[in-house]
Formats: sequence, C-alpha cells, structure tokens
Amino acid sequence: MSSFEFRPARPDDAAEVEDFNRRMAGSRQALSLAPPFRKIARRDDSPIRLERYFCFLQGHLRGGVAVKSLPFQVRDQSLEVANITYPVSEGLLDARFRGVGMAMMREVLRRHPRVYALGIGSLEENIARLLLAMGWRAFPVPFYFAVRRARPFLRQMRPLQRQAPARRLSHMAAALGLGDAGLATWNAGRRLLGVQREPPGVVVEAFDDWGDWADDLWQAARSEYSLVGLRSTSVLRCLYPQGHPQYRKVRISSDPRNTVGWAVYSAAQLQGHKYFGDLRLGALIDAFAAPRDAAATIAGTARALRDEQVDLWVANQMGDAWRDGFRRAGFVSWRTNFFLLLSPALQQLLETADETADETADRFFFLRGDGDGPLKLW
Amino acid sequence: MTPNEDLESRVRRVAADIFGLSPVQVRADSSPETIEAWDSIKHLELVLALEQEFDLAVDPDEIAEMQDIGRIVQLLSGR
Repeated sequence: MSSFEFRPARPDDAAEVEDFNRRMAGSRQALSLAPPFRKIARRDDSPIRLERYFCFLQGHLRGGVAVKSLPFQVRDQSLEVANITYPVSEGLLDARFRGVGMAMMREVLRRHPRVYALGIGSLEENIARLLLAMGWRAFPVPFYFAVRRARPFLRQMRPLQRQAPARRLSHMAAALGLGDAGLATWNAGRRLLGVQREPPGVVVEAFDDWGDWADDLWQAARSEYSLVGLRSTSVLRCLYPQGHPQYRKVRISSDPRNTVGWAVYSAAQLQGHKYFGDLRLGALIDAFAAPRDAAATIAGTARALRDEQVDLWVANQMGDAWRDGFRRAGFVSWRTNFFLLLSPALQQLLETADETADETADRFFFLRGDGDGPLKLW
Repeated sequence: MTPNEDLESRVRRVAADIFGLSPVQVRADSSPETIEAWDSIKHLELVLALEQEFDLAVDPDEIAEMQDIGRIVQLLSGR
C-alpha cells in the first residue's frame, strides 16, 4: 500500500492537525479543519466547490491545500477552473519532507488540471518558485491606489515610517498641511489636463441583494474577456451574500434600466496594520463590466468610496481597459506583489494559432475576489 | 557491476549534476540534510531529471519518499 495519501480533510484528522501545527509552531504555516473560504456562503444551488485537502506520508499529516472551483469563461468555452490557496508543507521546516510540496501539487493538478494561484506576495516565495519550476506562468496583477486624505496617509503609511529621514519629512508635511495642499494641486492639475475625469451620466446605486441584472450583465460581457470567473447572480450571492457586515455593493448604470457594471468593496478602520497602520482603508474586492464600461464602473465606485470617508483606496486588477479607468478616476499604479499564476493546462487552453497565453493576458479579468478575497482588513 | 550498482551510479550522476557537485560527493546517505543546495526547488528539478534519465513518471508518493539517494535508488529499482 502506498505510504503517500492525498485526500479531503476529515473531522477525525483533528489529532494529526494538532500535532502538525505543534511541529510547525513558529512558522506562518498551519493547517485547519475549519471549512475553507469561510467568507463564501454555502448554498445548495451554488456552482462553487470548496475543498480542503490533506497530504499524509506514512500515516502522518505533512501538508495541505484549499481549493475553490467554479466555472470560468476560457475564451469561448465555459469550463471549471480551480484556485489553490494556502498550500502548506512540512518540508518548509523539515528537510526530510522536501518532496511533499511537489507531490501535493501534482495531486492537485491530477484532480484539477485547470488551476490558478492568485496573490503569492512575491515570486521569490517558495510556492511561487515551485510552481514556476513546474511550468506555471506568472502574470503581475497591477496595484492601484489613490490618497484621499494626505495627513493621515503621511503619518500612518508604514513604508514611510521605516527610515528616520522619511519619517521626519512625512510628519512635517502632515503637520504643515503640505500633504493636503499638494494632493489638491495634484488632483486639480490632472483634471485640468483631462487625465482625471469622470465619464458623463454615471449613476451609482447602493444595493445589498443581487438581482437578475447581474446575470444579464454577465451574459452580455463575458465573451469580451479571454479568462474570467463566473459572475452570475447565483455565484455572487455566495461570494458576497446579502447582509454581510463588511461588503459594500454598488451598481453602476447609464440609465435606470441599463446596468453597465457593479463593484464590491470594503471600507475599514485599520489598527496597527503592517503596511497601512491605522488608516481608514477602502479596498476594491470585486467588480464586473464590459471593457468599454470599465471607466464608468471605476468612477462610480470611486464616488461611493468618497462617501465612506476613507484615507486611502487600493485595488489590484488585471485588464488594459480597467487600467485606463483607474487612471481617469485618480488612481496611481504602483509596483505590485500580487501575481496570477496559471497551470500549464490552463495556459494551453488560452493559446490559439494566432495568440499565445501572454498575448491574451490583457483580456484576463482578475481581482482580489478571485483569490481568497479582500485584504485582511477585519 | 550489478544492475543496482549501475542504477545507483546513474542516480548519483544525475543528482550531482542537479546539485552542482561531483558524483563522488553524492553518497547513498546524501539527503536534503547533508546537501545544502537540496531545497524544494532542487528536489523538483531532481525528480524531473530522473524522469528524463529513466524515461518514467514518478508517482506523487515516490516524490514524497525520496528522502535520500539510497531511498531513490531503492524506489527506482522496484520499477
């Protein structure tokens, strides 16, 4: 009998989980028996499958991974695509188990050949290096931000506080009001040059429950992207359920009968965040629109975020049309540590006689919601 | 030269190439604990190189069990 076992987690694994986590204490890696992707609502009609797998070697738990699967539009096909998150391996700490990570990923690929990873943090992370060595391909997911209130930004952004000279300068600028003045001048200049402008006729409406209009929008716009996760009404009711305390939802229309886009965002007061300190942070979690309506959708969302009194807005999103929308709404692009990695089988589906997977990447549609969700804001 | 010695020599040669060592530096008890370069990425590269050398596909359980050169030889000799 094989000494290696890769299978769904079970309640009677509790003792092994406890032993594993004790051995891994001090690392940032731990396993859990809690349902994966807890923010996602479980419903009978959900097309989303959520699984937690464990990896055993000679009867002892040595690693695990969570997998979320749902239909994707892959060029002109609707296919199930999986997302792996939280891969954990004891090989990180114990050299005897160096092979567990690769063995685990091969098992994942056997079950879910069309699979992606999103986030990662850096291509130097062990998991990224392993996947790239296995033939996966990495694509950066651009990072966008917009400062709304300069004084708290200058005082709270952790990267500005790490070096004494930068810390003194930023605090001085905050105290003198130079940040706010500079920000106002910056925004006015961009509007004057026509770089920052809101498309005309944008109507923004807050809502809580998803309607059939989400299905209509999905059907109308999905084929304009080469790779995009299903955003039907039934999926969205699971991902961003009614009454969720942290998710805000807005619908963007050009007239009351014509929804052109939607967005889900959060606005949270942080405390001691490693990057954002005590800022009130707005984060775009998910959205959808046809490329031609990206600017209107971002503009409408930005308007809603202004009402939330946030200090800083952030987003990660792929897509050329969306890059223009962020720019026009006053967002600035910055270097990203957020990456999309695609398995070889998924890359192959994206290639045609005329276009490689790389060349179609400007029509990928991915945001944070396609991974494990929002920044850890609460 | 027995079939297993021949197999072991081939495994040591492949491993030496992956880890940037001479074959004499790779012994049956060589493992990630004794070869500094043997991290998870090198383990992956070793598996892929062995698959190419011996024209076979390594099963996930074998990947996880390849904890030292001797064990690798043992696993491959059983194929």
